Amino acid sequence: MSSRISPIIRKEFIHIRRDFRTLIIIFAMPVFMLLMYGYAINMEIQNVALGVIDHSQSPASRELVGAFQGSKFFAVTDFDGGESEIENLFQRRNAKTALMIPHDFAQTIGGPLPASVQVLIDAGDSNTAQLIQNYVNLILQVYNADRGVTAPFEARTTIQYNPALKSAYYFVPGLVALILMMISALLTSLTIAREKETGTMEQILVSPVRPIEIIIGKVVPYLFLAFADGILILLIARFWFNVPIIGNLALILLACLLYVGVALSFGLLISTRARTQQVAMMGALMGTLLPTVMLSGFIFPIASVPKVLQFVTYIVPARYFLPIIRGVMLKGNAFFDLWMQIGALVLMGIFFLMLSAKRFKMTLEV
Amino acid sequence: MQRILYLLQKEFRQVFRDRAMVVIMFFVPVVQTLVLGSVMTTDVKNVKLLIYDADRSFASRELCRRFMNNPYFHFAGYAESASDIHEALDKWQAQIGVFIKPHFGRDLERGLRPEVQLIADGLDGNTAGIALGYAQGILTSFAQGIAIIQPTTVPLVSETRLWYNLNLESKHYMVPGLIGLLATVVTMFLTSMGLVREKEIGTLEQLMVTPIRRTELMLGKVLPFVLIGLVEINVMMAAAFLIFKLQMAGSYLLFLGVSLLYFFTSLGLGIFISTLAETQQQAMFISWFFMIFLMLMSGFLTPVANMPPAWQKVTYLNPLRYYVNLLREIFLKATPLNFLWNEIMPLAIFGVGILSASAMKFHKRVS
Repeated sequence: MSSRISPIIRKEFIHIRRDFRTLIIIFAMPVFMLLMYGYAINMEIQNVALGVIDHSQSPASRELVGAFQGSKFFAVTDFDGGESEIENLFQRRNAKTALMIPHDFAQTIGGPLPASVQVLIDAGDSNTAQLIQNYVNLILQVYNADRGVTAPFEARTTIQYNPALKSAYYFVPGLVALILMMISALLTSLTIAREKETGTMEQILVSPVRPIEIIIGKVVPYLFLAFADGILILLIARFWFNVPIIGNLALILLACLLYVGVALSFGLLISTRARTQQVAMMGALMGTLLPTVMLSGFIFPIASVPKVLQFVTYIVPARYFLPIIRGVMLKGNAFFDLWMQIGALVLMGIFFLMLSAKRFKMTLEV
Repeated sequence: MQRILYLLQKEFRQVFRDRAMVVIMFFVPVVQTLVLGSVMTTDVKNVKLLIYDADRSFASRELCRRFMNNPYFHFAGYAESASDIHEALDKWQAQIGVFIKPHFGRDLERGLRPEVQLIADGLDGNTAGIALGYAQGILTSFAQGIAIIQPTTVPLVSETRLWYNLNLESKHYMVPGLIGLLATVVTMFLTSMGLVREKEIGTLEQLMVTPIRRTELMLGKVLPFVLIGLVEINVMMAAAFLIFKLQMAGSYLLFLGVSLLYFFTSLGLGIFISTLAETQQQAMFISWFFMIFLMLMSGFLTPVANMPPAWQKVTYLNPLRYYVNLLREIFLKATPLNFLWNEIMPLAIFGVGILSASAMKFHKRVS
């Protein structure tokens, strides 16, 4: 069996070496993507434009505005209009939120009756709206504490693993998963479809090679390539973005190899089902890029996914890989903490390979 | 003119001959709009919460009850110790823990300001921040309840009013962007792949020896995808309306006009890509490359305002950025045309510029 597989592997390698442009893209693209998106994907808000409508114009109200000006989350601008012009303000995108201080602010503050200000938020972006609410409350808390309002108890917050709440720590490992998935699926999705289109498939069919041997022979070269890619981007993650690696490095590499194998098998599966390269490409795109970005926990938490659709996330390989890579890198998880995810990936890989071999056999008979 | 029509016929026939392509072009985007539209939410819900109540007094149990009943949290049980909480966070069993120290109830009555500790998994900073915000809110309202019994200085509170998206549903924010993205896929990808395939197979040369002019050839190859793109966005809009009950607040005509304008750009990019690639595989890689850039740098997934300043400047080069903004403004805020020039002008310039540059490059290539 191995004597028939190694020629296939050699042939694939020769194909790869011939297509120099693709080779460059395979290594340059992930590096570029990691560098670019590691900085771009950022959920920490800053400099949100806040328009102030101060009906009170008193030292007390100016003190309150000062509290907002001192915060890095808000960029305070004065707004001369009244409430009727808020619509304009939001539609022109001149501000995302407005603080309205009532005219009797100076009289009520410090008195026995509760004082309040109005915060108007452009809630088109619900996530930012949520964060704006949070930060407003935070600023008011400090403001109240400064005035001597004390809470009956104290709340202390401890943040584990990523005390500075840096987006990069969370998203860069995620990008590793995304990039590896894409490259792998892209690479293999075309190999079989291309042979079908150019007609060399028939030549393979008349040889004594068995379908499973063809499948394995096609996956192995790309396994090397994609794994090399993986090491490259891990290096960038570690030394450029300073994402710490607390756990076992060997475990990370093993998990990468496993994940890449699953992604390659998935690409191959698409390739066996597609008659033309165009369809294979679209299939690879729809099947990997969008689900991996949206349904794997890469940016959007799986817990927030409607229960009805949670089942879809179970078939996205990245869903299992992300806790592994994040867990080992940032929490120091060991093998035993993650055996379920690792097992799931192994099962998926075998499943895709078997399915590819089976589909391949069927097209042989056609 | 007649020749363009013939070309259109040929293109349509070629496209619809492959049933798999038809499914991918129409069925898949609709399904993706529906699935991803309901999934893509930055709303933080069901955050797994663990509580270690070291006090077990009436007051602490009341506080626990408030946490357990809060819809944003998913109560994952009581911890037996503080290290239990740390371990649970390690093993991904919880994302946030509440540690109520011993003598909480007693110290509360005596005005001794006991401490409540919140421990959060900071990996997903966004969820952590918002979940902590919820937790602080629960603590604050609990404190306010007590303050009535023990009057102190009255705190200043804020009253929040939300504009446009009263239920704070991410859907309204995400779906317009999603429609924009999927429309890009069709127009940019299919154009580039279609043109390159003719090059690869060799039928392009055959077309060149016909009396057809190069402009007509390009138009004939590009128009089908404009039409398909327009049909697609309408289909997705209909699906969004039927399933999500999402209604466009603004002018539908404006939506169509803006989309058409955007297609000039995406098609131009498709043509440009087809001149760069020799094989379909290369066209695919390059298209993917553009695609990721368009998607991640447009403000579709993560806000542009959060990016480092240098990156924000780069987004000005991204046509999808303007298109997504336009879609959101028209969809959610019914923003009228006269406030939208800041997005429409660049889009028009891009469209005309990229399309003509690509067309010229395409002409040079085929001659």
